[in-house]
Amino acid sequence: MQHVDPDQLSLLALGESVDHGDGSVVSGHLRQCGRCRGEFESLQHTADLAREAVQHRDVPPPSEAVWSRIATEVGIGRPADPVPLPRFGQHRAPEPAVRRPGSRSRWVRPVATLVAAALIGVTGTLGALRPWRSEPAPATASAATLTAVTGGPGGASGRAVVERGPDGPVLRITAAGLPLQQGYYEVWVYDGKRAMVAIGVLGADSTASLPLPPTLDLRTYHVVDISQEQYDGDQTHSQTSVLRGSLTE
Amino acid sequence: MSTVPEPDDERIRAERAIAERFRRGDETVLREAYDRYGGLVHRVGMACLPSHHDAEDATQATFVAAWRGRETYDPDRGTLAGWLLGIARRQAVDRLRALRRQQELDQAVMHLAAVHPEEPSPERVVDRVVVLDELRRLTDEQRRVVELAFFDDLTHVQIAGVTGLPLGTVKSHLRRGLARLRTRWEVDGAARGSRSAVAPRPR
Repeated sequence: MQHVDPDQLSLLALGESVDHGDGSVVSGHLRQCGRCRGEFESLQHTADLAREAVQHRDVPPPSEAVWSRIATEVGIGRPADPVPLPRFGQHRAPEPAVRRPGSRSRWVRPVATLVAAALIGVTGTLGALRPWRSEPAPATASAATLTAVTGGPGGASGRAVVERGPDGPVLRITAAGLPLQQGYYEVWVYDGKRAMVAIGVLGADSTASLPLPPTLDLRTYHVVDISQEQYDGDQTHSQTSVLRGSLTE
Repeated sequence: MSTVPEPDDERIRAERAIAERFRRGDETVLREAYDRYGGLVHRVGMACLPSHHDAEDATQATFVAAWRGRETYDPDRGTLAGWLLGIARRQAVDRLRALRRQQELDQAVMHLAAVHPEEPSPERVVDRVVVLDELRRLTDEQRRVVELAFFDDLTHVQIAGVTGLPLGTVKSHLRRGLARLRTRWEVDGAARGSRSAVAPRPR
């Protein structure tokens, strides 16, 4: 007995009726032939799934904050984009363009990842695509888990990592759960007693990559502190800390 | 049955490389995996859970659990996408269970009748999401033809009329497209996922 033509079987699975009046021949065959019936049923099931899936088509991707929380929770110091995107690159991207989260970057990143993935193993090319990364990758000298300061905003968390690159030490901060506010967040290192050194400002995406003075002794200034500051012209610490953690090697 | 076009070989190679680095614990790969599969994982939570918030929590928990349990992932037993979807499914199941318990408690306290709206199971959602993902990977022409059949309910004769493609081409796109979606469902679908990969339990 001849099996059902694959084209015809697919059309049947999609719900089309069989032409030329040989419908009874085909349905008779499907009743008897386990192979054709199995094929038909699995294709029909696939078509059902695809039709149901239409309602999931326009689901927006997870927000960037989800990634920040993942990175913080597993203790990865900073986002590891294979191509420098302005949103993570306020200190290294050549173009000053500010991109709204969720506009082009959403498209750029998957494409960039694909490109980079295709280049895995071609270290030289990959290196050229990541101008801020030296070869070999900078060593992590010390790191701190940042936790919410008592009395500060609850639910905030973060991570600080000190990397020794060829251009000197860099402090990388990734934070999450910091509320939006009028002022800004400043990153400090603190000796745990009285002296504090201002290092720089946290970016709008709650990350920062800040060069540290090469002469700074991090064994003394071992506490990383993030404070909430107002535009009041006062360069000293506002006394309002939101996140804090101690660097360990 | 159907021959796989060239760019897919590259995709498979790239995905294998990511899977291998993931298992080894290369830190930079977590972001790559998130970019590649985050949308897929998130879609499961969005379809199964009542709020956007719950879905984001589930997505976060899925990637954190995957990263912490990365040593249990065996690339020989399934794709990274399928493994992640297995974790996402369990996250959804556990959260739904907790939500139902809470709901039942509320109902018992307030003497309300239990309401369980018709919901697809997380398994079904994973299957749909996987098929949808593969649909996006078909060539433009193939996808257009298949989508006209699925979403606009056109017959192959009508599709030929709308697109101007020969009937034989339409039929072949439908056959190959459908076969490809089925293969992906078999590889990464929920039934396969639960057999092939030992996904770590969410915390």
